[in-house]
Amino acid sequence: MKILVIEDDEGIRSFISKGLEEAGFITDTASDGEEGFALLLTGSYDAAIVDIMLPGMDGLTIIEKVRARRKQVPIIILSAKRDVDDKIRGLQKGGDDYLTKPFSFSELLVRIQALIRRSSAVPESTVLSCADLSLSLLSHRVERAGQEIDLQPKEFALLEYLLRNTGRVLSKTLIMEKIWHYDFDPQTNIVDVLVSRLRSKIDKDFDKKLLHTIRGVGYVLKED
Amino acid sequence: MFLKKISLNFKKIHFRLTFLFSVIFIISSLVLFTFSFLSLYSSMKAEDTGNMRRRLLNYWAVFQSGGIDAIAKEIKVDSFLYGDRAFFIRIADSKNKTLFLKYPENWKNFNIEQLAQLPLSDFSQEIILSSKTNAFKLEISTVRLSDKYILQIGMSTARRLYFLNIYQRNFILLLILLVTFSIISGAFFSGRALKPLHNLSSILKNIVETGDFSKRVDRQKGRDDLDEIIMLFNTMLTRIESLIHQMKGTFDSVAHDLRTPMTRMRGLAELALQDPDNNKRLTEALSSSLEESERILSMLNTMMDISEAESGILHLNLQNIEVKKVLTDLIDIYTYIGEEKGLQIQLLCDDETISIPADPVRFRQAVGNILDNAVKYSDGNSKITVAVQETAENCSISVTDYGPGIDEEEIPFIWDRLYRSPSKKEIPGMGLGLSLVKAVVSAHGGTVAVTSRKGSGTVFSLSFPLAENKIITKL
Repeated sequence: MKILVIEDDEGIRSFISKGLEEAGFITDTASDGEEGFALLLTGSYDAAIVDIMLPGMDGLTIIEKVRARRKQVPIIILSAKRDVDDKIRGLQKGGDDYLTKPFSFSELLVRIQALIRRSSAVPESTVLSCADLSLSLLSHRVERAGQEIDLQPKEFALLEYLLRNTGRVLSKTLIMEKIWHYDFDPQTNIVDVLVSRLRSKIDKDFDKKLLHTIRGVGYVLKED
Repeated sequence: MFLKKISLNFKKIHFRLTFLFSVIFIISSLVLFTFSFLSLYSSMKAEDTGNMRRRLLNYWAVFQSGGIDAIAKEIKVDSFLYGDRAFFIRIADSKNKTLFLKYPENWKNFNIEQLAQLPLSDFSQEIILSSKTNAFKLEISTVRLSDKYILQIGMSTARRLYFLNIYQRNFILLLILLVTFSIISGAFFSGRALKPLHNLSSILKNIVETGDFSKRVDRQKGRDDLDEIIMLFNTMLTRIESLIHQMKGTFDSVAHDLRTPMTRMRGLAELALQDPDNNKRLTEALSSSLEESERILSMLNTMMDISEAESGILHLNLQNIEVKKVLTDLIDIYTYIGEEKGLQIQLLCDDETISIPADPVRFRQAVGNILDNAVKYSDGNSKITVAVQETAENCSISVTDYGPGIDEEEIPFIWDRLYRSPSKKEIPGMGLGLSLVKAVVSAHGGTVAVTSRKGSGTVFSLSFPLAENKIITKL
């Protein structure tokens, strides 16, 4: 999997590419708009991360031009502005997702993986599992070690989301967006509440804990 | 550089207006003069012609009764050669041979004798004789007395010329006076009309040069279009000034409020580095730093929102939102948290159709903050009610909790930025929630209110206007 990072700030560029490489991606980087545009057109990438404010050619123009040439590579927009209008404009121009700086790297990673999965359209299995925990998408049945667990709809949605991203840290923002379709900070610990309820149902009575809190980052479902 | 050009142009406009004013004045005066001159001329000419006709008729009548001798007799008595209505008389035979000619002494330059050389056919019209030395002319009319005789009478135009000359001279004098007056008054009026613009440009110049927004343009008496511009301009200045003022205030408070969490973060990192081999401690410090940075970001965002909303630059993406639907979704979230404390949240809204123009994100943010507070400050095992009421112009959303209530002396301060109740420090929060609510609701043109009774609960009411035109940023 090859990813192009177009970002003019050296620090951000290097932590993104380093992080992506650690996660198993191959990365190319560009520090200005024109270079990035040329690379994006000629190279074959599975996804691209494009900053909006760039020297040379701005990110929105890059996306517009790339889309005008019918290039379908998934693109994540990075922006220092948190204006809703900016986000809408970015998505209209053909961006696939939008992240506001400062962002958490794990969130960026999850979003990239989601985009790649969406564009490659791998047939999904109907049963998701992690260790002895399994969730059936068809029958909505959740089991752990053969024992059926009764979940509320929101808890079920969260568990499905965690299982689809086993081993990846999901931030509160991502969970909020996915479960409640809200993209603003509700100034509340609702995600904590939901996670702790789910935890009490899937982990409490078992020795091996699967749902972990990564302080300051988010939550992850994994076998230790 | 361009300011100089502008003031130069103003002078040009002033000059142009004055010039135009004078030109119009002069042209209309000239038209008036020409018209009155022509009518005066023609009426005087008609008078002279009439005079001559009368004399001719008179002689003709004398001839008819007494023949040529009677005329000769009549002429002797006449004092036609003198006075200001002098005229000459000539009698000729059928071959235009002069039989009788008499004219005043001072007309000899006119060569009146030459009339005898003209063919008779010329006399069917009026003949005009001029001389080289006299300004006036002689107008001569002819009448046929019989087959043998013709009679001619000539009169001078001197009297007419004299009057018309006086008229002309007076008019020129008057014109000079009027033109002077029109230039002066034109300059005065255009100067007065342009004064507001002049004031405007000097204030603008001052702003561009010094960046000082405190001065206002003087308003003229009387309400005209320019006055409206001046008023709008002044209002704009007031707005800009208050924006700048607010932004300065925001910078100060943001800088101040961010220093505290940044200091905490820095301290954590420094402390952890004192023992660099303690992995557990390092992990702990990094996690805390992340949490702290999250808090700083959230605080920064909220403070930006508040300042933008308060200063009127918050961009509201207004849509008609269905109040009941949005509230139901919101309550769904907070019910989840409320359940932890055994709280029930009840929505009282009979009318599904109530909708208001609002920014959906901001609306949820405002109501969400109130709900969050209600959940946080409620006692366990009680309830929260959210009631929607519609009046003629407003939609009011009241959130009632049955918690401990707010101290009466604290109520005036709860909307202030960063205010935290001293008695409830154990409940987490930044003290920005209610300021944000108030700022957002005000930006929508609405109002907030609170009533609270110690020990029995609190009601927060947010009132939003039902019509979009009520949404104006108040400044």
